[in-house]
Amino acid sequence: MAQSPPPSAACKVRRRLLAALPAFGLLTLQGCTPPAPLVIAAHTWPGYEFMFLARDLGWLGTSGVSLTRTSSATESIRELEQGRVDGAALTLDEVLRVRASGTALTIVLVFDISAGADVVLARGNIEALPALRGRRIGVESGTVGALMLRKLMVAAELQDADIIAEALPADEHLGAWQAGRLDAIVTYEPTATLIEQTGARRIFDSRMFPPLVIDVLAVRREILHARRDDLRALARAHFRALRHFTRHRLDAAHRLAARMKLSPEGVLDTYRGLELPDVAQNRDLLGGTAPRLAPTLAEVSRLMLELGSLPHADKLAGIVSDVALPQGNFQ
Amino acid sequence: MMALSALWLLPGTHPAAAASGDTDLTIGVVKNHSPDVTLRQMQTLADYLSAGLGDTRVSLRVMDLDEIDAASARHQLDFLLTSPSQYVQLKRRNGLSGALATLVAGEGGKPLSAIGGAIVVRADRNDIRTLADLATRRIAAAAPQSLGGYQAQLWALHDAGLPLPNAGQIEFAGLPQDRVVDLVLRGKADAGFVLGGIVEEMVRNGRLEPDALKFINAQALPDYPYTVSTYLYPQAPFVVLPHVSESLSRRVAALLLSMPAQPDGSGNHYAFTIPADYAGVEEIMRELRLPPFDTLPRFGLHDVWHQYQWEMLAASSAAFVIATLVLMLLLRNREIRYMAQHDALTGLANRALFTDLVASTIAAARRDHGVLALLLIDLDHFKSVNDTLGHAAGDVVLAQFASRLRSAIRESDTAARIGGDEFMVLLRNVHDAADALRVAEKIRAVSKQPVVTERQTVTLSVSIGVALYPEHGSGLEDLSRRADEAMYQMKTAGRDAVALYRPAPPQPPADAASAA
Repeated sequence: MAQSPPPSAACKVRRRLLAALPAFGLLTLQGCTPPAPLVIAAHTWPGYEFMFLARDLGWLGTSGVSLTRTSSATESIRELEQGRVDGAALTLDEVLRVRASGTALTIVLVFDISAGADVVLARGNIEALPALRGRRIGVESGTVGALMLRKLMVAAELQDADIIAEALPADEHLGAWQAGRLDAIVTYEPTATLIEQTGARRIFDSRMFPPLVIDVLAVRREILHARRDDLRALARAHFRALRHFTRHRLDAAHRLAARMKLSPEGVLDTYRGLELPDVAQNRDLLGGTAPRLAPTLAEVSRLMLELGSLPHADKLAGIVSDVALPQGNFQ
Repeated sequence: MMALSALWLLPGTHPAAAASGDTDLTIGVVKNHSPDVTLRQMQTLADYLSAGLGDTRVSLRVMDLDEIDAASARHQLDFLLTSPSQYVQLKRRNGLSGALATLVAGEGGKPLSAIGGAIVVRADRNDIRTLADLATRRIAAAAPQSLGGYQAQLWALHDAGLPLPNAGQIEFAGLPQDRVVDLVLRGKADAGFVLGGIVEEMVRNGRLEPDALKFINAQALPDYPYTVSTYLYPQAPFVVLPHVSESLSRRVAALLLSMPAQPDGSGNHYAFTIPADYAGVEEIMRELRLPPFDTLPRFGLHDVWHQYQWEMLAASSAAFVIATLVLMLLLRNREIRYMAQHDALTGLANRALFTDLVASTIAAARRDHGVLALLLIDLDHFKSVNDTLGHAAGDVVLAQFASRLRSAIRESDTAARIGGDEFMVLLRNVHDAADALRVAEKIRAVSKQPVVTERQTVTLSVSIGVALYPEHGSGLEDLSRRADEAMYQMKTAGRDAVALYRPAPPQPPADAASAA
């Protein structure tokens, strides 16, 4: 389904004038069709929830932004590539993969940086990392899983051939663990807490290597400037909800609990493993002449090339932009 | 070091607390519930602390918020367990340190670390359904410093963009919070702002019918056991007042945090955990300008500037530009009008202006039966001056003459340049011909003063014809014709003279007209 073209700048100006001064009624809005909303796809992941919290609390308001919930990153990517949505919440490696397949994307917001939210859990009889030799490890197929596994192998001083990796989609992790056939599992929140509650021990997590697992909002490059106002409204709403989480933690935890199907304590536990960059940190990551996200993107691209998940290295042209970030002192 | 401090905490091995004069400690507890209920609930805390501290007796006083305020100031209390809002207020005023711990209450076996505010109305009130319906209603609230029984609800209204109730609408029922519910039930108030959980507790105790009240703006919080209408906020803080010694505070804090869950007498348990973050509470108090943040101006000029600086700059530049343009326009208009009504060379009124002036002056004179005089002035031989000396010199002569003319007439008179070398003067405030002729003579005299031009000095003379209103005519046309006739006669007679019009007698002419 094709989307109607975004309104021209002149159309927007006319619309605003008309709203502000009915005396300008002589101006006609002929040719100004009501703009289609900016559509963003996101599956369930703690870092993406603030947009939805903002929507629940009425902070997206009458802005032209619409959020749509998908069941997985794969679905979000499909919507994006087929032009049904304007942007999606994805991890860095997913962004690079979509760009490699021909859709030009730009990262406009960093939702979270995994600082412990991605974990390797093991049965009680595995005391140290080298004890993983010969064991069966469940892992989601995809770059994050592969990345975690790669880092785990390096830390355990093992080769890929020294372990048995079993590919498991995220929604099967808990079931497979309870079935008993896995010795260890590479997983993430909120499943990680649930598995931990059955007695599994955390033997490795994303704090043990520099930040690589990062979740961002990526939009199609062509709408970057045309829908800048809507992107700014969305970013503002996200930061407002993030601030609510900081200032009114209990209230936010209760509201997120219903959505994430956890208890409020579980919600707070989940976020313990995530670094949530504020506006200033986002500016640092995405803006200026040397955005801090660039070297991270380069390393992820290199890793993916080695793993064979990227056909060629991404030149990273136009991959980040700070155009959606609030100006000045956003408190 | 660690071992030493552990020793320190054991009762009996520390220097007597009497050294700092506080063997008896009092905890002020806010009476959200009825005093004996609170006392029963919290007595276990006092006993536990007494036992833990050894030779110190800890007692409780259950008070309302004003009493806590006063007693704290007079050092009659050493610790408080009170509303987070009162904590923020006292912290600001008295410079309290942070809270030592935060309460964790129990409800149905689950620990409750948050409180919220509820807004209730009688179930039969179909006219109040949403927050917006609360405008202009009578509202009962617990107390001004109560978070769950007032401030949380204010914030919910503020957040929804609704106006806050004014002082006249609110009645503070005082603590315990049941009083708020009573006022609503009895119809003394349309709505009640009450701590979340009080209604449920009253129903449980049989003091309230389950369906007597309904909640406004109920929040969807499935994990929270009570119905609330506001955000959730941290539980009550356990606060130490500044006059208590540090060593004693430390011991109390350690005891609280390691206290096993105590029964509260109604089947639930309570305990303490590390202090919560009350910054959110402080923030809403600031935004709502509640004490102690009410001394700041509501929205002073400074705030206006800060918030709207770009708009203000743009507006004032725009205003400045517009003002300048308007001013220029007005000045230009004035200029144009002036030029349309005056002779450019001499600055005297032109024919158009003069005609209007005469008409309006005659109209006034008709009403008042006044007398006016019209003088018609002709410069003798001006044409030859122009031809001989040139137009530039001629202009100088005319301009000079005009200024002399102005000097010779009075404020109330008007001079005008009608044609090339023809001038007219309207004299107001004359009584008779004699007055008019006197002025005319004066003009004739000043005209004779030499005019210096580039080439040479010129001496002028003028011929002046005088006509009177209403005697010689009723309008400018008549008067100017008569004056002209008088002047013409005189010109033929020799010029440089003043002549008053005399109607030609029906008989053959007698003497030639002469100046009076």
